[in-house]
Amino acid sequence: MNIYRVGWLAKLLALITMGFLMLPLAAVIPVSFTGKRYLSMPEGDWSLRHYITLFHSSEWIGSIMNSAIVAISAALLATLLSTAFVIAVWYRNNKWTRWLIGLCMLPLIVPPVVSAMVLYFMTTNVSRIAPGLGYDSLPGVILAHTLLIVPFGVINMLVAISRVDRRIELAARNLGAGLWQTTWMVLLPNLRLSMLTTFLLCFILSWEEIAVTLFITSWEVITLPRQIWSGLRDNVDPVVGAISTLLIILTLTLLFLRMAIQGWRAAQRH
Amino acid sequence: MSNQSRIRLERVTKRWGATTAVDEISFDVTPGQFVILLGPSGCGKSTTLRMIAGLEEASNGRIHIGERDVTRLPPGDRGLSMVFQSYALFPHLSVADNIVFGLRSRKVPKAEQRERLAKVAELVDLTDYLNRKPAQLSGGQRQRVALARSVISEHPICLMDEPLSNLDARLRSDMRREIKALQSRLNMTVIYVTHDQVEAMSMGDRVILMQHGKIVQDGTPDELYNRPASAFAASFIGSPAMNLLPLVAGENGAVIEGEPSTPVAPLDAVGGHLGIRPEDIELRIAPGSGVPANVLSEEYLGADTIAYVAVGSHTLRVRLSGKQALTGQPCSLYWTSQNTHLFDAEGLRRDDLTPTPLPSSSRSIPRPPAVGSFQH
Repeated sequence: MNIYRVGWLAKLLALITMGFLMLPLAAVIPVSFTGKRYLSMPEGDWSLRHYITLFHSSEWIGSIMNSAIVAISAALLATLLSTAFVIAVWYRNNKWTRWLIGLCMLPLIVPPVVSAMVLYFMTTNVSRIAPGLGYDSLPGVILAHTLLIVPFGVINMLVAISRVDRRIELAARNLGAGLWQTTWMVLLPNLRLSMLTTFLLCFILSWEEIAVTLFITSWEVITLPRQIWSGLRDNVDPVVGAISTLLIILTLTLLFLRMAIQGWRAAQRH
Repeated sequence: MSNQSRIRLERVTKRWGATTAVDEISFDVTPGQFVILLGPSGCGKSTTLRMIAGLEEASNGRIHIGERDVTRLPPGDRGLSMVFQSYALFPHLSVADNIVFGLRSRKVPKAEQRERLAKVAELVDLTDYLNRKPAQLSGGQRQRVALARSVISEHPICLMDEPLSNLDARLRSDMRREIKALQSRLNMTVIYVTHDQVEAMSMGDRVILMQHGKIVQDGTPDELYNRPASAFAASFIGSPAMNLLPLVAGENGAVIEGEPSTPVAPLDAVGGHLGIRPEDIELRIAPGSGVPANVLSEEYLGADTIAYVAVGSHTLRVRLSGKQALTGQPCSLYWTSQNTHLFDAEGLRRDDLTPTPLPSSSRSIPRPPAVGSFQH
C-alpha cells in the first residue's frame, strides 16, 4: 500500500485550482475574436477586425515598440549587471559579499507602490538636471525597470554560478591564467546559457511591468501594459483582448524557450 | 638532474582565524622524487599542497622551488602543474582544448601547441578522443586528460591532489602504475596527496605522514611500515591495522591488560602500548608456551583469513593464509621481538626498550609469506 497515492479529492482540488487560474486567461482568447465593437463573447460573428485595428493603430504599434526597446535594454543591462555581480561575489566569497547579496535583494522586499513612489521622486529630480534621463523618458523607464528586475537576475545567476566547480578556477590559475583569462576563458563560457535564461526572465518581467511605469511616465513613453491600462479605463475595447492573446502567446513562447534551454543544458551535463 | 625542481618548505603555517590547519611544516624534496603526503582528512595535507601550488597563501614560513623563493608568487609563475581531485576539467572545452589550455593562456604559438598536444595525447593514449567533451569520457579517460593537461606544460614538478579518489578499485590500481610509469619516464618531481595508505606504499619513494597539521613521520614506505614513529603511524599504515595493546604491570614485567600470565615487555613499558601487525602473529591451536588466546570469529578474504582473537580483555586481528575455520577454539599466539613495537603513553615509539621474547613455536597454522620489501 502506498500512503502517498494521490486521492480523487486531491486531484479534483488541483483541477479546480488550475481552472481558477487559467480560465480567465483562456476567456480572453474568444473575446478577441468577437465581431462586435464592445467587449463580448463572439456569438457566431467571429472576426479578426480587432487584430486588424491593432496592427493599423499607431498608438498600439508605438507602445509595442516602446515596450520592446525598454524590455530589451533593461533585460540586457540587468543580465550584464547581475553577471558581473555574481562573478565578483564568487571570487571574493566572504561575509561582505553575503551582505551585498542581501542589499541586491532589497527591491524584492519593498512593496511595488513604495518603489514606484521613490522612483517617481527620483526621476522627477533627475529631470531637472537632465530631462532626457528622468521623468517620462525612455532611459528613465529603462533604468527604473533595470533596478526592479536586477534581483531576479542575481538570483538566477547565483544559482547558475553555484553549479560551477570551484576547482576549475584553481586549475585555470595553476595553468597560468590570470583573473581576466579565468573569467573569459573559463567562467563566462560556463555561464553562457544561464545568461540567456536570465535575459529571457528579465525581458518578461520588464515587458509586463505596470505599477512603477504608471508613476514615472505620462504621455511621452507609453509602454504596452500602460496602453492596455488606458484602453481598459477609457473605453472597454476588444483590441485589449487581441493584444492580450498575443501577449499570452509571446510569454508562453519565451517560457518554453527558457525551459528548453535549461532542459538541453541538463541533458548535456549527463 | 638539475636542481630546478627541488622543493623546500621552511616552517610553513596556515591559519584560518583561530584554527591552525598546517603547523610549521618543513621538508625538502629532492628532484625526481615521488613524495606522498599521507594522512586522514583534515590533517592539512591538501592545504600544504595548495600552498606549494600558490592556490592558498601561507600565513607564515617560506616555500622555495629551485633557487627561487616562491612564497608570494602567483600560481602560474611557480613552474609547476597540478592534477586535481575529480579532475577539474573545463566542461565547455573539448579534450584537446582542455589539454592545451595552459599553453593558450601562456600564449605559446599555435604550431607548437599542436605539436605538443599530439605528443602528449600519444603519451596518455587519448589521440582518438581529442574532439570529445569531458562529459563523454569514462572516469579513467578523464583522469588521463587531467594528467595530459599537466604534463603538456613540461614543468619538472607535478602536484597531485587525491587524483584517483573518484575511480573504482580496479581502475585505480591500473592508474597507479600508469602515473608511476609516467613520472619515471618524464623524470618529474611529484608531490602526491592521498589518504589511501595503499597508494602511499605502492607509489611513494618517500612518505610524509601528517596528523593535526604536523608531520608525524617522514621516511620511505619501508620505514613507515617497519619502524612506525608513533602509534598513529602504526595504525594508519597496513591493513588490517596494527594491533595496539595497552600494557599494565605484571609480576615479571609488563603484561597485556587482562592477561597477567605472560610478560611481553620490560616493566618500564607499562602505561604504553605494544604493537604487533596481524601478519606478524603466529597462531597455534592447542595451549602452548605462547600467549593464551581464544578465537572469537574469522573473516575469510580469499587468499587469507583474518581471525579475531581474544587476549585478556582485548581483541587482536591475526592474518592467516588460506581458509581457516577456527572459531571457538583455544590457541596460543607467538611473535618475535623484532616484529613488535613499543609506544609510550603519548603514543611515541620507544627504541630504548626491547619487547620480551616469547618462547618460539615449531608447528603452527601457516602464515602468508612475508612480502619481499617488508622483510627485515
